[in-house]
Amino acid sequence: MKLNWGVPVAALLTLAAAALPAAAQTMEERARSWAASCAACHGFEGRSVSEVPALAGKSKGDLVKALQDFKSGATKTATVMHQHARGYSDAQIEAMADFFSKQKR
Amino acid sequence: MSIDRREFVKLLGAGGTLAGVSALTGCATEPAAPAAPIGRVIVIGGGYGGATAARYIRAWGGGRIQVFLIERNRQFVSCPFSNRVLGGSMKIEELTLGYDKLRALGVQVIHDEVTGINTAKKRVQLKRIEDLPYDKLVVAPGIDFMYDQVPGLQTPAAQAQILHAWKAGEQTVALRKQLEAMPDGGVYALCVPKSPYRCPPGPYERACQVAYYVKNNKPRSKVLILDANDDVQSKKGLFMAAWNGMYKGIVEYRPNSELEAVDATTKTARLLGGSVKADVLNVVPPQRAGDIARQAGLINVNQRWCGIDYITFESTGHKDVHVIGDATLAAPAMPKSGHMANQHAKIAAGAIVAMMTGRPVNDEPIIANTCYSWIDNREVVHVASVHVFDKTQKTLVPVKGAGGLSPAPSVKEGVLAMGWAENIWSDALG
Repeated sequence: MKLNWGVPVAALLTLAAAALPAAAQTMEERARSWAASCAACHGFEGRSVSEVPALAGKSKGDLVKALQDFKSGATKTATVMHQHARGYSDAQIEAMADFFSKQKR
Repeated sequence: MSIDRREFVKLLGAGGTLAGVSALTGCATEPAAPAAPIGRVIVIGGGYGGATAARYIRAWGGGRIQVFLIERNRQFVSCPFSNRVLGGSMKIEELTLGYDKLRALGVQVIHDEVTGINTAKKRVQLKRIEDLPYDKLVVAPGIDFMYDQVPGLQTPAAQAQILHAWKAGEQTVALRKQLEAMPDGGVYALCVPKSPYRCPPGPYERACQVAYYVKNNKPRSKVLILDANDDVQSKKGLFMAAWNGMYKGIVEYRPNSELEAVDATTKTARLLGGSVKADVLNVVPPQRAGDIARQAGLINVNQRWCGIDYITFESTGHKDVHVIGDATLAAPAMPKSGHMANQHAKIAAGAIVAMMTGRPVNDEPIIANTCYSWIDNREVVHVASVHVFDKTQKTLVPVKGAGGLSPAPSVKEGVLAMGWAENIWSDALG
């Protein structure tokens, strides 16, 4: 049987899509990208399978407060999160908290 | 599931085109009837970086991007924590995972060896099956060793005696056996190459783990760190405290000890300032981007690393080829590590999906790093950092004021380190 290993048909569609003028990136797209930096420790989309706290499905307000308390140093029991939280702007914290609050637990 | 060439051809033949290839996975949990496919991404290398890239491109592509992951090994073996196998508090089996969950997520995992990349024709050549065309390629080959810089270590026979154990798996287990065979009062010597190398704190964690083993089993033995660098490269204060504390009298640290040659039969390291004869000689050779990156002409910095655009991780030399992980030219203060490769993978995945769907790429990427090191069987220390893209310098830079170190080793961080491992493995492999 002859195999069809040719260029995927879809390459043409990709080219067509790439030729369209790119709209500005949405906050949802940015939030998904930023939140992915958390997933290495907290699990894919914040669904932890270990001792590390899960983030998926938590309330946005609780997540923002927790991150801001790490960032300000108000939370004294942190091992590493105070060091991470200081790397994100308030707007980024807001966007990531919104993203995780919308993920299924 | 193992697929040899004949089976693979048969499977493909049964279905014909893209739909047939999708049927390979059998149990895809991605949308059952995805919208029109928009192209194919091939990922070369299924380690921390490659596996994560494959998973995220599949997920973020909404099932519309076909993802092939080419990996020569049947199983994933974690380099992070493999020093614990040397210390005796973990088994290699606990660091070994399969690719079945990734398959279930719709990634087509093919165990084969890449023999070449034709970047002009956008095709990957494989040892066992026919060439595969791609729209976008992710190259995550890790590192290979520059044995030409270590006279005496070029032959397979010498390499079988003097282990690196800097890629986890058989070498890790073999080095553990050498340690078990070492007499009480023996000398374990570890040669550390000049930076940059994979896992900056790795050699010092290894010294702690070997010291932990000998302290409890062969207390008259010595652990000698022969460092080509002029100082400890990571977590200095924390490691020094352990060597001057719980491992006092066992660990000796010697900076500026650049390796000139080895004699594999006598286990002797010839250094700039004299020779050291060991009972177990463990040489971590200088490193460069993995062989396939070199073969494909992706190495374009110092003949060692792959230059990339830090917004997309696209090669600076070849369009539509993205390089991630240890093989890349590291941005300032960015370690070569599994955690970093995981983070690179997501930046690359986001950019690739955006480029293939006609969306803008995120021009404000963020990378976060937490790196845990085991001091003994329970106590752990970390170093953390956050990196953002600097539009003036056009590279990723550490955020000032963020990041830091543990104040001291703790059991609490030992528990979190295990939690980190379980989550990063599931983040990458499903």
